[in-house]
Amino acid sequence: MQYRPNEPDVVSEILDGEAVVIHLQSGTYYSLRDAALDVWQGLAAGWTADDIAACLADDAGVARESVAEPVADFVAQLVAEELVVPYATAGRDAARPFAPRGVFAAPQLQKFTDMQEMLLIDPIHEVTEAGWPIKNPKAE
Amino acid sequence: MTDPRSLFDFAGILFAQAEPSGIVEHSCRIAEHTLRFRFAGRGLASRLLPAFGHLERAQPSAADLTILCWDDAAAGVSTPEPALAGTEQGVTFLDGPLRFAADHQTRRLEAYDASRGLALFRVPDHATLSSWEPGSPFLRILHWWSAGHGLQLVHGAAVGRPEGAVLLVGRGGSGKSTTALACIGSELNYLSDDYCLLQPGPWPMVHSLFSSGKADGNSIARLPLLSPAFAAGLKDPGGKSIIFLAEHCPAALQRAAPLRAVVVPMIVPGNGCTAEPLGRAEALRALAPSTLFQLPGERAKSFGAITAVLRELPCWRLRVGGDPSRAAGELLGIIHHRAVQHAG
Repeated sequence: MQYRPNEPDVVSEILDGEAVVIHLQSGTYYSLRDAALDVWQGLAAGWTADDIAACLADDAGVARESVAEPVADFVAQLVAEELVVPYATAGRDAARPFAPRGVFAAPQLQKFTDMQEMLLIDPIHEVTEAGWPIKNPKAE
Repeated sequence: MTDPRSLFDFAGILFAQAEPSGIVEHSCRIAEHTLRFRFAGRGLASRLLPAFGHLERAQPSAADLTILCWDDAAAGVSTPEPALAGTEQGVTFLDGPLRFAADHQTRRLEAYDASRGLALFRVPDHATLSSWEPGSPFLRILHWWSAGHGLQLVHGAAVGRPEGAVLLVGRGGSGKSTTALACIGSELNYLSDDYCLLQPGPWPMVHSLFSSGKADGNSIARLPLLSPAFAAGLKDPGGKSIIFLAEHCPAALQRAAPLRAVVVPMIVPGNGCTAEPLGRAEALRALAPSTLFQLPGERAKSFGAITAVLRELPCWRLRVGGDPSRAAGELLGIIHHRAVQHAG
């Protein structure tokens, strides 16, 4: 299965080997490094979890079975956090979306929740065609 | 009230019918734009205008943003209240070019119509205005407006010289305000201790927004030059004192500068101060969430503007000990390091 970043609710940027991912609706933000960054970049390029795991295993010279499970678990975590959503596309980027590291360590999602309370103080609602002041439930 | 657009009609009538002698006008320049404030009542003006006292005065005729401000008590009106359900403390609605925010507790209303460059700010009584408000007034409105004018309001402090400045970022308590205020009296000028405007581009600029400075008791004890001013300053509910630096040390203020670096301060034991390079992503984590989640609306666009600036700049970690005055030397070195790189 293919996934893509859950835009527009999620924004992200990769700088100096780290992806900063922010869920604008929940107020939660995340740091992804190393294999976590590789998986994020792979998914964004249309690769499946299996594609990514195979590539990471080959890079590290380890059995694909030892990589597949932690990668699948990590993708499930991204889905649970609503950072990525299922996405069907005709293909994937042919070029590999991440550089080889030579070693593999299970991807980790570093999660920060210290900003959530600010959203509770001042939630945002987009006015729909139903008019003011009907809240758009999708925006909550 | 069923539609916030009727609030604009209400304000139009209020200001059209007000006695000219009761209207306080003030216009100033910021980031090459003109802001015009019109107050129906002197009490509200006297509380909210000092924060802009350091900015260049301007003619009101060609304002890019006009903010109509009133409090019901002084204006002698009863502003229609929005019929908002829910238990939230505050709520913000986005509707095309319209932005509208209401706070249930304070009954403060803010609105902005981007299509007209017109904003509204209303409180029931200026005497009950939150004590933090004079230090950073019209924050939401300025955020909404700046996002449509190639500017980005950010949660950060800034100090510098005409040739360059640094942006100090981090959540509350990280030491950015104390570090910025401690630079007063040094070779570095003061642009901001909490909020400022960024102008993205290949050569990003930082613009001062408010002349206010805030510090708690611990910080004030480390700011001997400013402690007498803070002793007489306004107090906010969190125990911080607020002063307007344009009233105490106008020569130390600077309105804008090319931005040379982003600095993430960290309070450490001891009295020393050291700087070391920092990954841009860590600086992004220190700047973006606290900016995006304090300011309603335009969040994806704001994230793009912030990352665009960070891509152009080196980032540093500043470890600040108990003597924040030592930070000025480190920050000056960072500014000149970047200036030399540009010159090369």
